[in-house]
Amino acid sequence: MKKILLVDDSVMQGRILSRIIEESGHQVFEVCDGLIALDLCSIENPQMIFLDLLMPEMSGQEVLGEIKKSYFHIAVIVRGADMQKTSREEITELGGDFFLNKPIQEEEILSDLGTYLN
Amino acid sequence: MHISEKQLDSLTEVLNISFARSANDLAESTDNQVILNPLKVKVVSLADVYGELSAVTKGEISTIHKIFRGNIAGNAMFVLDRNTSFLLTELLNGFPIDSDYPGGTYREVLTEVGNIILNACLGTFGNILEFEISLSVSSLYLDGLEKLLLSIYVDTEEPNYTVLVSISFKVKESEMSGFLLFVMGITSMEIFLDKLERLG
Repeated sequence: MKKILLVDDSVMQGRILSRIIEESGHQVFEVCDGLIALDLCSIENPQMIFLDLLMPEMSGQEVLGEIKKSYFHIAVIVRGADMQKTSREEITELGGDFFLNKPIQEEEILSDLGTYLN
Repeated sequence: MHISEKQLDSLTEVLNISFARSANDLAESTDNQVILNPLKVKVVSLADVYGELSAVTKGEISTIHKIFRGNIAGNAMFVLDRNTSFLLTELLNGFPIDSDYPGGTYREVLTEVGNIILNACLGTFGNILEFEISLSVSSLYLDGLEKLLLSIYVDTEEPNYTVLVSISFKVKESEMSGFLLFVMGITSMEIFLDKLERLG
């Protein structure tokens, strides 16, 4: 069982994603705010993070930048509907491991879990 | 009209996805990056729209307006204040536009921008919520807020509600803000909210 952190300000998205990951046998920590996510990284040391891009207060890009500064080993899957080439390039430059399109596709989530946890 | 926390959360998420799709299409067709900020969403009665918009928008506004029909029906609008509409048009067009005499180029560019945004939003609604929706061609209005609200076609036999979305985004280092409005009669709004409730 691996530890997975979900960062999403949408309760609905968090609930769907949480169900998919828990059913595949992993432990889920769900937060709706980037600052709490950073705290949880130091406390729980997750193996993987699913990070929403568009969030109030601290954006997904800011959270990603902070996580990769201190926890480069954690795989971060960035989730969003922004498919602009420049936005994707920014995510790659910040150290994002993969970009997943919204809305959620269960098979894509399961595939990412398999790829990045092994 | 009561909207539950779950419905508002789902509505905001669907709108965030829809607006991001709009920005993608706008970026692709104009070759400019569009940087998005999170949306602010509320559902208000049509009568309350004037109060909501007049508090933040003064003078003439530019509106691109579309009528949609199908499983749900109503009016969709992309609203910018006059100055923002000129700024956006100039940035996308690449040369200044005389704001005293807004001519064909201004109208064409702005109508196209509104068309791209509204098509992507309503198309994404349709895809996520599994609605069949057909859209009218876009119309551009340059007028005061009162006249804009009078131009909305509504079924007067039932109460009408508006999904009021405050949008903000950045194009070429310029911050811009405006609104998306989706006006529906209570029958359509209840179908819409019921679908949102079932998501997740």
